[in-house]
Amino acid sequence: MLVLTRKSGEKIRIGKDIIVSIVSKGQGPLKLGIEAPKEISIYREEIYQSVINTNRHSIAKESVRLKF
Amino acid sequence: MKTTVATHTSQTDSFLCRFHSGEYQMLNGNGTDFDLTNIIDFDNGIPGFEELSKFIVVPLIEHHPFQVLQSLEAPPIAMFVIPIHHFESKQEIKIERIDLEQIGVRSQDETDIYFVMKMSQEEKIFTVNTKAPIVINPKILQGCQVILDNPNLQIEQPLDLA
Repeated sequence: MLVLTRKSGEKIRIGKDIIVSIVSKGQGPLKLGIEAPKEISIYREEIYQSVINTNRHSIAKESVRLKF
Repeated sequence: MKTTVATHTSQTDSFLCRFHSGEYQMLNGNGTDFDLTNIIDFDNGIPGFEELSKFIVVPLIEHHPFQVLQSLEAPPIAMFVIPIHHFESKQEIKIERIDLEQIGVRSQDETDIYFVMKMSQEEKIFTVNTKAPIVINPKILQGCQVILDNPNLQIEQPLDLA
């Protein structure tokens, strides 16, 4: 993993199409701005991981009976 | 009126045979021929299965409205899904324009949207993923799983079996 130190207002370029900006850095959480082509999806990682986890556990492994 | 809905058992070896003969075997023994001309392309796969890009949606005719999102590249990868209009979600499902453009539609009305279901009789789990619906453009057969921003949507929304 590449670790860079940036100040507020500074940016990072990833590949030719993605730019990450440090939007603010005061008290509280860091704000990041991300510019990327619309084909590239951007997610909070913990949410993406939750979806991966739920998808993997949604694979039908057994018979299920539902009553309505 | 009470209805019992029995759904699919996945047994890898026998399922592969049934898949290759074009027949989808139901737990209750009724075969359903599915149409391999309706193969849906998921260009980016789905989270956790990014390498899988060919799926079909198999309606469980006798067990409407449940359907199965079935991988054609890895047959054991099959998930129960339900069209969202059959499920009473307290939150509105709104797909962003950027995601609609990815599958070639201008409006959400042109899409078929499903929730993936997590169901285990043994573990007594019956939940629906309302946070990350499957969105399909049925005209050009493009699909994706979209993760919605709305923080009130749950990845594991309990299914109310009244």
